[in-house]
Amino acid sequence: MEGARIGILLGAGRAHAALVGGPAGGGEVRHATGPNASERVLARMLRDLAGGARVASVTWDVAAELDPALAGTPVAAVRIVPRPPAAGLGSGHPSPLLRALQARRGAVVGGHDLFGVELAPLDVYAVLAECAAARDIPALAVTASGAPGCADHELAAAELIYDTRPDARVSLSHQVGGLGLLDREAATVINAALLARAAELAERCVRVGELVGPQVSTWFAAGDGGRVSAERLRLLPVLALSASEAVALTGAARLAGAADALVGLALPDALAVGHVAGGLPEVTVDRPGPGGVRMAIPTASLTRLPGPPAASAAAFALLAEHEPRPAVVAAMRGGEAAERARAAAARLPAPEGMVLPGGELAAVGAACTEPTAWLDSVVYAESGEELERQRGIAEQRALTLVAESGARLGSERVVSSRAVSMSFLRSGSYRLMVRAGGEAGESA
Amino acid sequence: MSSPRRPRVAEQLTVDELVRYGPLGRARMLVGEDLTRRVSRVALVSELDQIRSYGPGTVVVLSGTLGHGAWVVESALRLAWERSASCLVSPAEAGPKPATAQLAARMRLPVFAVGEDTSAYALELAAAVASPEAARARLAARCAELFTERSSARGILGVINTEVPGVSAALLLPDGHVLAGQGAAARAEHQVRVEVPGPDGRRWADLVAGLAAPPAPAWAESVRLILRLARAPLTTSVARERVSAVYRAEEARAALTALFARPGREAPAAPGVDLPGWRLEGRHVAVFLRTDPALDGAALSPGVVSAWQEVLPDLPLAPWRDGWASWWTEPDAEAGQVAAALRRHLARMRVPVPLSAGVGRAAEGGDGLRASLEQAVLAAGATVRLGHGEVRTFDELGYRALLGTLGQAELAAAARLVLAGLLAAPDGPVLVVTLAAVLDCGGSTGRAAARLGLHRNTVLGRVERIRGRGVDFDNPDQRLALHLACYALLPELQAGGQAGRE
Amino acid sequence: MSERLITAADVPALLAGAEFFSTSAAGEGIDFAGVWLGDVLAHAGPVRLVPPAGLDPGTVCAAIGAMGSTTAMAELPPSGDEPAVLARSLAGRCGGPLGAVLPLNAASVNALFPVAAAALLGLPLIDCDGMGRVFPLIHQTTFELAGLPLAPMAAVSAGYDALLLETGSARAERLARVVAQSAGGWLLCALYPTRVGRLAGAAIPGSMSRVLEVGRVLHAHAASARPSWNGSPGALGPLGSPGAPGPLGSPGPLDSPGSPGGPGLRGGQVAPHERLLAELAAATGASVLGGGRLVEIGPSVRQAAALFPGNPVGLAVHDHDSGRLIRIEAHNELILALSDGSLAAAVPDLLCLLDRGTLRMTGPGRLTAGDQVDVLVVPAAPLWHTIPGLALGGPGAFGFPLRHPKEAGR
Repeated sequence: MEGARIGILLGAGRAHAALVGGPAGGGEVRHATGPNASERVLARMLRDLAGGARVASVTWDVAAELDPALAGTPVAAVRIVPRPPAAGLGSGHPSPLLRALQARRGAVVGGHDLFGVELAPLDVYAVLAECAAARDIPALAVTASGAPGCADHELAAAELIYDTRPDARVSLSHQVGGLGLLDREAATVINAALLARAAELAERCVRVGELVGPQVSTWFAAGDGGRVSAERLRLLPVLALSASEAVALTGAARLAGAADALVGLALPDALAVGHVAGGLPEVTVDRPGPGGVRMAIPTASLTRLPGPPAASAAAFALLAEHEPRPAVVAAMRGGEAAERARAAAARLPAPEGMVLPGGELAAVGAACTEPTAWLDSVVYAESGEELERQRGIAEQRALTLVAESGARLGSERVVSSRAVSMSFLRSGSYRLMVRAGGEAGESA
Repeated sequence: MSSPRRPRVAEQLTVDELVRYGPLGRARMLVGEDLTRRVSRVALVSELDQIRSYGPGTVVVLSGTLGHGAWVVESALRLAWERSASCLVSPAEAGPKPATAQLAARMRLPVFAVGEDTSAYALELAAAVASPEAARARLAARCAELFTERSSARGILGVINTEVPGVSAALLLPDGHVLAGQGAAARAEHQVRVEVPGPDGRRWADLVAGLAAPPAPAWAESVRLILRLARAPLTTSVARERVSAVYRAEEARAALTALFARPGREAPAAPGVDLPGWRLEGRHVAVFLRTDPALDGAALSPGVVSAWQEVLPDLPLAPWRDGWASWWTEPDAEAGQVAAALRRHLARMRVPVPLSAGVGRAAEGGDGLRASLEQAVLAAGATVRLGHGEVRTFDELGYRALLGTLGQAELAAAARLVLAGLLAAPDGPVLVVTLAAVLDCGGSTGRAAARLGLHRNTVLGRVERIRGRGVDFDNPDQRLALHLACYALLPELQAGGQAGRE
Repeated sequence: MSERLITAADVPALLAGAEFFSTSAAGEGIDFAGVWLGDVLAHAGPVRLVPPAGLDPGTVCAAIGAMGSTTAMAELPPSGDEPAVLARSLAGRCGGPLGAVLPLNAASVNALFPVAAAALLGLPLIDCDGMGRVFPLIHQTTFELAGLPLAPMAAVSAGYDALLLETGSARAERLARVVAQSAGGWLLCALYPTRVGRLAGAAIPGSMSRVLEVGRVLHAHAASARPSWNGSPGALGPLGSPGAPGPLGSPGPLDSPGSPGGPGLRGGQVAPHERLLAELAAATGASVLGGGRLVEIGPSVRQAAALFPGNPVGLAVHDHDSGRLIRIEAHNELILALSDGSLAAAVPDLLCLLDRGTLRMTGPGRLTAGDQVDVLVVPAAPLWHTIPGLALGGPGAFGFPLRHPKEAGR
């Protein structure tokens, strides 16, 4: 049975909710806003918003609540590499955020290559020494080279850590991000820093959901425009970062009634342009995340067109002209942003491309999210057939992940699947990137 | 209209010819633009730069040693285009991509892919190009072989039209009527023409090949050769078609006779009526063809039947009574549609005599067929006076027109005899009017009563008296005759006063 | 040419320029090297970038460059003591300790690693290189054209493997390639040890300066095209407080904002990508071959003579303005471009792809059919347009039996 979906954005002490009707409700959109107060207050606001309609799900955009600069706890970073940095050289991260979060940095010998071949055995004594040295730090982030291909050393290290520090919160890099040790380590550190806050948030949001109704499932919007369960948020809060931009894109496309669109989000100082395809934002893994830190995690791909409204409007019109998808402009707020949106919309061939949301775009987008999954791995395939076989396996894994994230059985689909030839490795080396999606099922 | 003779390379094959009867027939055509390009030579290219040294009209064959990839094909394509090559042949494994094909289409340069060793393939192409005569002789031989496998004029024309590149062929009667093949041939500016004798040895038709451009002399000769080769099989096929048409017509007549010999029974004995195209079960619409009564129908029969077979090869036509009978059997056959179709067919039929036709009503089963055919015969009686090509349905004509055409006086006399028993009754004229009304209403006494302005019981009473006088209008064999007889008498009965009313 | 300093603040521009000169294929995912270099420069201080003429001609120097997969490097970043290992290895072999280093090729990661090496060794970096771009083989260099010996070559892996090769150039390439494959996917090398005086006529002058200059152009545009909110949803919400970013909310050195209103549109007439193309053309002498929708991307056919690692890829771009078909063959780098079947550009000249959407250089690894790209051609250094230069780095060297456009006239 399908009911209405609610999306809710928490930020700056306020809660902005949007209800998107199910097919029975004619797909109508309603907005509500209120203080980010007690669970009861929030639940009452959502119940009033529903107005008696059955609510199927509440999806939270908690990206603002997960600001690592404000909500992060200190982290001990443990890097597992075959050759530890000489005198700490080159292991530092330029981001002040990361420097602030990393209460301690350590390196131990171990790690694998891209294809999962062990380069050095794991130095278990060094791991234990790191545990001892980090005994006052509540969270640990473990990052081993080659972990996306073989996670054995991270898992072994985690076991040692739990043996000595059963209370520690631990993030393992292979669960967090894709290829690229520095980016993945940054993501793992930020993830570890947010574990405590995420647990609190998840608990609170689930309780609000329970107060709204007995069969209301609780979800969290993710940076790739998908949604994750409370359980997954507790494990991987980093996935919820940058969610607001992603769901603002999909929210704008949803309000314009387009599954595929070129979307311009009007801000006071720029027009941020992204693409939506099949209801999902196009993503990239190399966009800077919080504090300018790249994290090897897919986030919505956005390009900024700065300058006066007329200039960004002209640039957007040029993009739209070369774009087979319809163009949509949405104002992120009133005033200057609305003026910029109107300037951009005026230059579009179709006047219906203008969206002026009555509330929070991201809340609309959050309500409409569906489960997704992302895989990034390296394979070796000597023949085209072998590559297709490996790709098939990867796609199957991605579909399984989608199903595990609460997708209705049978709704899983591969959104994109790319096999990229890798430069300067023996021929037959490919990087596989698979994105999969599905439709949210009944229960979380 | 003749243009001044231009100097031209007379003996060159075209790409199209190499596709039709040369080695390119085995290749996969990726881009089929502008196939009329002439071929001057074949070049096997193992280095792209070689293409620069070839003149126009070269078939550029890429060697397998040249290397593979879309870039190879596109580079070669560009060079070949610059040199006005006639076409490009690439090894299949070089894998021209969709974008490559689009480029070739923009350049209007034909591109082929072959799955075999291109070196051997190039040699074979070169042999064909070097001696176009040999290639054309092979074409003629191939056509001759195919002619023997076709037994109809249509089949033979089909061979020419599919095998001989750039040529449309048609079989024309001396007056220009197209018997078979493509009408375009008759209108073509450039033609090659040979006479085709009939079975009697006299000129029966012309076989015409139309060409888009003035043919090189050698090519015109090749086409003429192929047309001549087609002549004998065409004559034979015409004779065969006529003989078999007459034979089939006799079979059909026997079948019809059998059908009408057993009124009231379903399908007559199988052997006599087992004609392809004719069925007894199902929904039928019968047609009847007649010609000018002054002509000798029997002598004309073979000509009419074979002309019919030319336009309707799958439907038998039987000589029947003073004309020819046939019928359509289709689940949704309607008289109007059949009449329209027949009108078209009559217009196309090549017959030496005027033909007109009547069409019966649609009816089910063997009995229905008989009735429909009778109706067709009656309708044809009317159309025969209207001239060639006239087709009318039984319903269209209406009873009165029908009767008018039949000669009312004689019919009325006959009707008085047929209905003598009924007329002898005291209220005889009333009974005849009532019978006509009941028959008009398909046997419904209720509707007949309404129509006559009487109470239904009155009509029922009269029907009882009609039956009492030995008139059984439930018998389908008699119903039509009764109906006609009533109509034949109605005018004089109604002229005699308000006989219908009491 | 005068001396200047490369500091941590130069890293973003260096990174963008390195990506440009990687000719699209090998420059992907090299951001890690910027992070790493930034940290190294922060620790070890700035590097002196000097023209060859600014050093004693007798100074012993060697080219520094990494070989192998940048993806592997990102997964197994250098530990920081590699340059020292290389310097020790070579010291006894070339008549004295190294007095300066130069980039093997100032492009992709190899525009950054030599800077790090110079910083870590405390040596000046010579403003020249041996390729002016990326080539797949370590001996496809102008040094080779000038007759400088490649060996002795020192190499070190991320797994603490070190080796010294004394052999011919082509054999050194093959042997090192096999080692790189087994040692984690990449090696850092010091090769072509020589004296500064011999670099004149053997090296491409000003390479590093050019990378920095192009990088500044690209970085300015990319920064302006980057979203400003850094993932902070407060900036999106109606009640956000844009004036009060958190203490850590200010952009780091990798994310410094562009001059507001500078790049982008002036007067609303020129598309951002056109402006950027014009600036790049001015900085590099590049010409634009065309631009439009990518209509085809997929595996291509390996050329018979090619022994390179990696997989060949074919791309086709539909030029928006002229309707021409631009076919690009890539094998690690972009090798050649045909315009409607005629060779428009080829190695050793650089082919680069600009993503119109992001205003960043892009390549086959990041592209999918439907993307909008512009194709740039940057002429190679004149040394490469000589007959031996084209033999070593022209289309023939990549297995393409085509004459380079420069050669076709001869």
